[in-house]
Amino acid sequence: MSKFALRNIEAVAGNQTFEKLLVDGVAPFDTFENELEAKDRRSLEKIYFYMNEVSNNRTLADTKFKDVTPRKEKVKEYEFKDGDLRVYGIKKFGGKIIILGGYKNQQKKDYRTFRSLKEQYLKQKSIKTNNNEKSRTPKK
Amino acid sequence: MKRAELLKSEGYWIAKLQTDLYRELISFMERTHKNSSQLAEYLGCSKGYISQLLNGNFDHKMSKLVELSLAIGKAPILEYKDISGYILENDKTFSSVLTSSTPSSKFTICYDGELFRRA
Repeated sequence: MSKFALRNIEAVAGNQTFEKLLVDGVAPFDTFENELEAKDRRSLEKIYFYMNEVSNNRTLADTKFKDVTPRKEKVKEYEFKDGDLRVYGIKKFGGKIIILGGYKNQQKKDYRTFRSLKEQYLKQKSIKTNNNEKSRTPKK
Repeated sequence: MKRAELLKSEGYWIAKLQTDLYRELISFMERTHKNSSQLAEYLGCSKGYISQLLNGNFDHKMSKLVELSLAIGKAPILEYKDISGYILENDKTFSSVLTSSTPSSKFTICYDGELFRRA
């Protein structure tokens, strides 16, 4: 099973914290950014601007940032978009976790990866929380 | 991407100007109880053009930006700040890490007060 961790996104500053998910030490969002075609660089910069706005609790057009949580799903899912780029994240207490980014024409595949990583991360987080609680409970 | 790099990027400032205009239009529609069709009629624009504006995708001439701003009763005030000073100021506000800064001019825009309303 992959190991998950979170790292602060330095370019985003505001009331809400923005972190990126690390899978076995690598952030899929960083991979996306590093492999981005030069022509799409501006769109990514714009998406970073939208993240800053969300971090400061400001409203955006829903064509730029929207809730994409499926029905009955407990943890909220979000999509940032500009041009052909999409960035997927989830809600966490006091902010957002950016899981990955991708191109519009890869959306179906990216959603599958996004939701799979989300599920694995939340599962690992809940196991950790349970273990911590157990270790804190005094033995009778 | 580092924060200083983002604050020096074109995309960041383009998105800021587009979003500021989008918010002003939304606020105008709320104040005047107009829907997007009525706004199109009021501004003398097509519905498609208004939909572009309301999607935060304004990327036209400066003269159009001024025309739209005045039509919704706002003065589009441009303020030019030294980019390195802006990054430092921003850094202090958010206590983020500053990497590097090269002086150059960038501007911010704010919509100040109501100038007039169209009859």
